[in-house]
Amino acid sequence: MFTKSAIELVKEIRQTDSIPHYNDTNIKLAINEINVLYEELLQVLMANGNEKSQPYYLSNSMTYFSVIYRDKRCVLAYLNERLKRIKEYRWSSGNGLLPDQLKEKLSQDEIQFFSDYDKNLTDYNIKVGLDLTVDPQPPKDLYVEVRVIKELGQVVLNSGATVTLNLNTTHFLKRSDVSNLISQGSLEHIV
Amino acid sequence: MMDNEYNTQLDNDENNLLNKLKTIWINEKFAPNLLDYQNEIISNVMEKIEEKEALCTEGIQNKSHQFTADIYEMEIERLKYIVKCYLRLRIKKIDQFYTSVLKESQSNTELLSQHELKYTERYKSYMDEYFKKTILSSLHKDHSTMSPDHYLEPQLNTWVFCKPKENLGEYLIDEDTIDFKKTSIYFVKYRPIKDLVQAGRMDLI
Repeated sequence: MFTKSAIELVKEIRQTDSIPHYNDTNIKLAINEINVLYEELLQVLMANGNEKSQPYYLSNSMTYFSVIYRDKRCVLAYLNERLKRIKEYRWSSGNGLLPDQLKEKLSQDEIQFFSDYDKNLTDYNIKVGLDLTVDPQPPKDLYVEVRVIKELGQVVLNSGATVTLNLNTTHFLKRSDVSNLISQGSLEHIV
Repeated sequence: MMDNEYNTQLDNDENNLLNKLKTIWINEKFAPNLLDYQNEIISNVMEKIEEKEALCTEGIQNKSHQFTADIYEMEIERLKYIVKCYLRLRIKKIDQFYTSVLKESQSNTELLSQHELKYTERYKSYMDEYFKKTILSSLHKDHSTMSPDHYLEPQLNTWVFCKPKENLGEYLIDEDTIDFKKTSIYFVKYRPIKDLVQAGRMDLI
């Protein structure tokens, strides 16, 4: 069936909200289908130069063309949706590091894209002097109580103070100092 | 010393600035397309933040002003939060509609701040690069470009709530004439009122 592999791609990405494994096989199949069909289409058109606007040939060409168009569209949608989720991950994690279990699901180009995107966003954040990815919640209190869930040892905070963050200890610290540690998952906000 | 300054800080200018900041944030939030970058307001707010931060450091050195300094700091956090939200909304829109944003920015230099423009250009370059590497370069040359309908465009036909800033008189909207009055709130399609919002004569809510 035409466009089968491309439709599978779209279905696959719709089934889940996370990032599924990069489906290289289906993408290759879809690309291959486009190229094969287009070659055939060109040959038909060449062979029947004078009659190509006859309804018989025209409907044939139209079918081929819409298959090609749909294939391309589906693959692009699949790739774009993946990029969108990768970008969302960059925003919610608050840093430019990919964990291994996510990394193995991405293609080489996607990893490259992630680091490009991270670099661009970090540069922009530095230029405007604000980190846009931290603090997605409106600030209620100046100080927050946090529990350390990853051993950090001695840490120098933005405000210049030094604290020792040992595992499972709780601290009462300035929100602006610890918000990036919270989004990285090193600290936990105790409500 | 700090008490006097605190009183002068509360003058009308400051409240106006805060209100303006809130307005541009809310407008940006509800507009489906990217609005012009409000350079003047943002740079004023950033200046105010810096001023207050300086006051805070002074306050910290003096123990008796610790309480006032904390209040200032809270205020700084709140201002920063709104600015961040505003800039974040804009970056998200740029990510989504980068092609149309870049096209529009050629004729409208107010649309993007200088940093945003740089961000958008770089973003476009590696987006294009990515799609070229993954699919477009493996296709026959007749198909190796993106056609315009492959890009996302802002949905200008969505419905929005809006509130005119002044009596605007009558406008023809979708074959209906609407008399926009300052005191009322309207629920209309975004496309016809786009220019009014852009010109700052109408606010979205």
